[in-house]
Order: sequence, then C-alpha cells, then structure tokens
Amino acid sequence: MITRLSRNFMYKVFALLLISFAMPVLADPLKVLRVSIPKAETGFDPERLDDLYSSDICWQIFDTVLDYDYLARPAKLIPGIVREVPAAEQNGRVYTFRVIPGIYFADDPAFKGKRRELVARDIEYSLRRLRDPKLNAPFSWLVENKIVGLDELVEASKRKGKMDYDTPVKGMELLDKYTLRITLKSPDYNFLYAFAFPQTAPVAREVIETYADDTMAHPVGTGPFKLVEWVRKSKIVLERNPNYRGAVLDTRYADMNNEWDREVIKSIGDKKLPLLDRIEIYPVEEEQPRYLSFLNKEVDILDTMHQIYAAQVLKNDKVVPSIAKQGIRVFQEIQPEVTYETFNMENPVVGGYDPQHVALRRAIVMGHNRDQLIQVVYKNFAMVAQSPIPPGVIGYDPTFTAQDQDYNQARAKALLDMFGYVDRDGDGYREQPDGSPLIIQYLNQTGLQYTKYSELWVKSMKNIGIRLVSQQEQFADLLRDQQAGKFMLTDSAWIADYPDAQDFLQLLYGPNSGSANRGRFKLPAYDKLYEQALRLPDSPERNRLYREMCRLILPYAPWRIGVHRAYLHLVQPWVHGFDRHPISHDRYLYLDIDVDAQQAALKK
Amino acid sequence: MNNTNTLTTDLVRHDSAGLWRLAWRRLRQDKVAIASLCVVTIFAVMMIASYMGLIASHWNAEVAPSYAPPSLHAVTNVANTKVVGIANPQAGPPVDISDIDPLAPRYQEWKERTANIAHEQTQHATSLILGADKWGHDILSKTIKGSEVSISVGILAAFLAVVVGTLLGAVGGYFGGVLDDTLEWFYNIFTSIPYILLILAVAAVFSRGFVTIVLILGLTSWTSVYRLVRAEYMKHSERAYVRAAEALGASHTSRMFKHILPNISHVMLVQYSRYVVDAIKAEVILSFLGLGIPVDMVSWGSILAETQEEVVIGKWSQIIAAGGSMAILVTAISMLTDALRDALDPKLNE
Repeated sequence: MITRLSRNFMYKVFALLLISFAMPVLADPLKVLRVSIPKAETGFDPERLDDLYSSDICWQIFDTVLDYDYLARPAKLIPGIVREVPAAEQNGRVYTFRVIPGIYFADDPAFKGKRRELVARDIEYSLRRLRDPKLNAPFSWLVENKIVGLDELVEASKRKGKMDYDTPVKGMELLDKYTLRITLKSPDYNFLYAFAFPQTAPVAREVIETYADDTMAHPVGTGPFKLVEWVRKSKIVLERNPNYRGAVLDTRYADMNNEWDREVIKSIGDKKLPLLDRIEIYPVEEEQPRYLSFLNKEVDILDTMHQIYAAQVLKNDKVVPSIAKQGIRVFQEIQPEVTYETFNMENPVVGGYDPQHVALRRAIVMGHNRDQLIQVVYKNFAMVAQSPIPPGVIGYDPTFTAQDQDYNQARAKALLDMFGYVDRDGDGYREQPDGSPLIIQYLNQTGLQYTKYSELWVKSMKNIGIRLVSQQEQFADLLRDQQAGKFMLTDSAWIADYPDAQDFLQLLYGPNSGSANRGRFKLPAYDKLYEQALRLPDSPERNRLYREMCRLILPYAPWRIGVHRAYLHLVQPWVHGFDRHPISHDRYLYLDIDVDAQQAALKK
Repeated sequence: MNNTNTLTTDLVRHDSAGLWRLAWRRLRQDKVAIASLCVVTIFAVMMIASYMGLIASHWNAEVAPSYAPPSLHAVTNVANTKVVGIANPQAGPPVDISDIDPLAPRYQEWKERTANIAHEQTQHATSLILGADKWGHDILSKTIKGSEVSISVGILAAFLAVVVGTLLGAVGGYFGGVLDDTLEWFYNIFTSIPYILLILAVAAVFSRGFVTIVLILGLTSWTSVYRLVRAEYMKHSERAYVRAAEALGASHTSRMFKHILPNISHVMLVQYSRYVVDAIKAEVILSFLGLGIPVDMVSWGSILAETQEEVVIGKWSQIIAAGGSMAILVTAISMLTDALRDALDPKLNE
C-alpha cells in the first residue's frame, strides 16, 4: 500500500516537473520592447505634464479624447474615446463629444474592486483639473480664456483657496452619461486639437483623490498599457492593460508609396492591438552611451538620434554599410519644429521698434553664421527656417523666403556702421551710438550641445565687432529667467503641439508676452492678424493671414530664426510597425516584435 | 702657517649646508627628477609665452575647414563646404518687406556701404600639425592656449589651498584649546562631504569663470595641508628654539610665521606640488562637465569635453593633444613631487 502510494506520488512529482520544464517552451514568449529616450521623465500625471518624453509615455497609458491617425500625413485628427470627431457648431463655438460606452480604466485599488467605466464627466473633470490653481498645470493655456464660465469658476476657486469640481460650468454641459457639450467664448477652429494632447486625457477622480500626494507615480488610464515599474530617471516599465478595449490599424490614409507605411500594413495588418506585452524605457541623457547601447543591441529603438551621430549612420542619403548589413532601419524626418533665438524686446539695448534698435537686431541676425550652425553643429541634418512655421503643419508655405535672415557679414557691418554702432576706443569691439559699451548677453542652457551654440554666437559676433557674453544655466533656471524676461538674447526651440501654424505664431502674439512669447514682441498689426486667423477654419484666406504675419516679423527681427532639424530614429530589424508620428511621436500600440529574431541577435 | 691657513679655509668651505641646498643637491642627482623638472619648465615657459601673447594668440581664429586633418601644409580644397543643410526645392523669391520696413528709407545707403565692405576670406594656416577642430581652429594653438588656463588654475588654486590650510593649521596647532577644537570640528564637517560632490555643488551655484574655478578649487582643497601643518605646529611650538624666541620677547605672530613656518616649509612645498596636480585634474573634470570656464576661453578640460562626441565619429586629434599634454604634465609634476619629498626628507639628509 505504502509502496503504491509512494509510486503514485513519484509519478505526480515527475509529471509536475516535466510540465514546469516544458512551460517556457509551450507558452508564447513575451514580446518585450526596449527603448532609450534622450531625456529623463518627470512623471505620469497627464494634467501636470510639461515635458515631451513624459507626455509620450502617457500617450501609451491614457487614451486621449481625440487621437491622430497613425499613418495620415499631414497629421489627421481621429476619434479617441469618442464616437466621432465633433463637428464645429455655431461657427466654431460649440463642440459636442459623445463618449463610446464600455471603455474601462485599468484596475486599481482606488476603484475598490469594481470595474470603472470612462464617462463624459471624466473629460469634464480633467478639463477642470487642468485649470486647478493649486496644480499650476503647465498646459492650462489649452483651455484658458476659452470655455464659457470656466475662467470665472477658477477665479472663484482661487478666492476660496480650493478648486470647485462640483458646481456646473455653463460652457461644459453634461447632456447625459456619455455626452459633453463645450461652448466657447469665441470661435476657435483649432480648439479640438487640445483634446489630442495627453494633458487633457481623462483621469478618474477617485484615482487622483486616492493618490493626491503622488499622482505622478500612479497613472491609471484606459490606454493600451499600464505602468508596472518606475525607477525614477532610470527605468520605466509598461505592461499590456488587460482592460484595454483593443484597436485595429486604420489604413485608409496610408501612403502606399511610402516604404514605412507599406511595412506597417504588411506586419500589423488587421491584428488586434496592442501586440507588445511589455515595454522597458530607459532614459539616457548622454548621446554617446545611448547610441552605443543601440549598436550593442541593448535597446530596440533609438529615438531622436542626435545629428552628430546621424552623420555616422547616413552618408549622402544612404545608410552606411556597417549599419545596413545589420538590417537596422533608419527613419528620417524633418520634425515640425523650429529653433530660434529671441531678443528681449523690452531690453533697452536690443529691444525697441525704432530704426536704431531694429538695425542692431537685424545686424546681429545677419552676423550670426547660421550656415555654420547647420554644417558644423547639425552636420547638414537641418533645413534653414524661413519663418516660424515648420514643414508638416497646416499653414506652412514652402515658397516663403526670408532673405533678411540670411547670414551676411558685410550687410551686418554696414548696418551697424550706418546707425553709429562703431568701435570708438580701438579695442576691436563696437560701442553703442551714445558711446556706452555694447555687450550682448546670450542666455542658454548648460550642456555640450548648447556650448556649441554659445561658441558660434561668440565667434560670429566677434567677426562683426560685437562683444557677446554667453551665460549658461540649468534648464529650469533658464525657463524661469526667460519667463521673467531676465535676458537680452536667448536660445529656444518649439515643437508642434498640434499640426497648425497657429501653434508657432502664438509665440509672437502680444498677449502671450511672458509665457509663450518670451521675447515680449508686441506689434499691433501682427496681433490683429493673429486674432483674425483664430476665427477662420483652415482655408486659403487663413493661410494668407499666416503668410502676412510671417512677413511682419522680418523687418522687426524679434527672432533669429534658426532651423528645422532633421532627426534619425533607428529601429532594430526585429521591430515591426514603426512609423514615427510627427505629433504623437512613438506609438507603441502599433509596434510588434519578432521575438525569435530578437533573441537570436542577443545571443550573437 | 700656510698649512694652518689652508685648514681654516677648508673648515669654512665645509660649513653645514642648509635644508634647501641639501635638497637641491639630492634632487640634481636624481635623473628622473631633473627630466620631470625640464618637462614642467617647458610647460611653464609655454604657458607664460601664451599668456604674453607670444604664441597661440590666434587660437580661436578660423584657419581651416571643420575637422581638417593633421597636415604640414595649408589645408585647401576640403570637400563640399557649400552644402548648407537640407534644400527646399520649392523655395520662392525673397519676400519683399520694403513697405513695412523701418529701414527702407536707407536701403540705398545700406547697399552702397555693403559694397564697400570687402568679404573676408578665411586665412588658411600654413600648417596644421594636429589638424583643426569643428570650427576650424588650429588644435595645436588651442592646446597651448588651453595650458594657460589649466596650469594657471593649478598653480593659483593650489596656492590658495596651501595658504588657507597653512593659516588654519598654524592657528589650530599653535594655540590649541577651544580654537583648535572649533577648527577640528569645522574640518570634520568639511571632509565628511565627498570632495568631487562638494566641488560640483559649489560650481553649480556660482557663475562660470576663471576666478570662480580658482576659488572653488582653492577653498575646497585646504584640508590635508591643514592637518599636516597643524601637526607640525603642535610639534614645533614646544621645541627649544621657539621657547628661546618666546624668552626673547617674540610675539605669537613672530613665533608662528618667522620662526616655525620656515622650518615646516618643505611640508608646504610638497603639498603644494601635489595640489597643483589635483587642481589641474579637477579643472578638467569641471570643464568636462560644463561647469568650468566660459565659452570664450579654452582649457584642456573644455577641449576634452568636446571630444566626447568626436571620438565616436573618429576625430582623435583633440583628445590626443589635450589628454596627452595633461598626462605628461601631471606625470612630470607627480614625479617631481616624489623627488622633492625624498630630497626634503630630513631622515635622508647627509
């Protein structure tokens, strides 16, 4: 009896062992994507987001109300969690959002064991939260001075010292559980773009109140992935959200002449998304280790590769053999962004709208060797910017050519001579017309890349006889000083928040002085055109206004308009479905991994 | 008589040599020390000549195309410098702004003046032994100019550290008591913070500049000389020659700095030379991390910072020039310091 029992027991143990050894072989291996990003994240509370890379990660965790089609170029708005993209009612003053029933948040203890459905009130709550004075949300401008009654509620809340999340707002009507109607103070045809920002992604009030002290570390969304591990500034791990409703690639707007689109359609097809099980994101701020880790196959995607290394990958528009033979795919794009240096228009030395100060700024602009910036710093991976509007956004005019921003040392010197900026004491540097020293202070951030900008400015200005002193600060200090107007000339860049020129032209809109308009440029003619354009939908008439605004900038030179940078994104051969989106950037929802190829490469 | 006179003269000639003379005698016998001294002297001369503008005065002049290779001849015909970024094939004619331009009334004058200003051509160097950097600057000149800041920082920061350390050590060691306890407490707190972290924290707060770096490095490096000097002063203050000076009415200041200080000066010298090496290396670290000198100056540290990217793209000249120079100088000073310590060690004196 004992013997039989023992034998049975042994058989069972043996069978269990056999199964446990066989399990890894029988189960599908996990599809793990490893990504390196060039800046550290700050956190994952949508309404509190300020930086690009945290926003990109939130895009994986949260559903936005509206979304961008993955393949459409130029970028096209599509429904996110709503049935359709709301139509502009009452000449762009009213928008109605109809939420799709049956969308659930990822499970979280904040929901006390119940499934939590996303409803229209969550959108309304998130919009209010974006204006919560205590939150000081960096993207509150998306809904500031726009929705009827919201600004008044914010003012009243400021007086009470606490945001009122319950009193109805006239401009945000909940028609039923799934319908929200928003009424604006004035027509705004670009308003819908605000709903494709991760910053307006709906969050659950219970989650925010449960984790009030650390909402950045507790993102709970309805998106395809959820956060499972976060080692701050070191490692972020996302895993598939089992509550995600699923998605399918929409191929209607694909360009079949584009090899990347063809590859996406071929590899993803009509599979139910997401296909990845796990995403590991590693912030690596230094370019060199980031690049080397990709070459060493430690990451699967090298996002936004710096231009100096780009020249090692692409020569004469062809991938170099050492990269090509590894099967690495190289995605090249001119980002919808513009780099620029802005003058402080309120500074007594470089500011002002009179001919003398206009001449000084124009001379500085023409004296700055932008050609060398492109050749040496960007290794020719950049396009000369002719206006603040970059390619890839609605309103970009490729025929617009601004000769007055071209590098021309002789014209710069002649202009300085004409207006009395001459060297009076023979030290090789010019003085101001009244004889006082002319010293231009250039403010930018610390870091090797920014040091190059500074070196070029110092060198360029020396060549036209202007003494320029560079001051470098940490990024947070730089932002603070720029917003406070504590600068003469400062470095900046702007990447499209939404694919419309308005996003760039607002950087010079007078009422935005001190916030987006850091140079405090105030030209009534420009402001008038800007306000006219706001009231128009996308049309030739609005494009004409945009062009005229770009023309108005040129004589007053509030900016040294820089470049539109080109970036490379490197993709390992086992990653499928990659197609970098100009606005929503990396969408892991559409990616797939050939695990066998990945594992084989790692073993080599 | 003659014999007696000769004997007297010989006795005078063999009068005991001083500490420094003996040290110099020992140093001269050390071939490595002399070679190191020669290297240090060459660098010092180079630095002074650069400071006086005799050499490398045009280090930041654009004398060649970007990353021109090392050559003994002028670099010309470097490929494709006319390409400026990605072309826009749809570019239209320049936008006319004459109707809105405040400068429009003076367009004609502007045009005429521009025509009178000759376009300045880049003057190519006759030779570029080490090639050019990204801006077309001669790397040899840049390295020489870089030595000026690096060595100056080393000398001045080490001097400051030794002065501060000696003063505090002298006060603590000589007076003892509460004053010494207070200084010890301060020393303990100061040394509890990791040296590099302390430097980086201070450097991040203050604005960038040569004087700032000297102050940062000088005021954070005094601790070891303080300990040594304090110990020496505790020992010497009880010695007979100090007691004798006290009996003769010498003041505390006189005893501390006229009597004791010369007798411990060899300790200071050895520490000083060690500090020079440390300060040169620290300046390199600071500049490498972007916390060093301003962008219109150059040091070996700032050159090495530039090379972070360059080595990946196969540009080695700067790292060899600046890294090599620093390695040679630091090694030479370290070896000289060792030799000096041996030469000044009383136990090894003749």
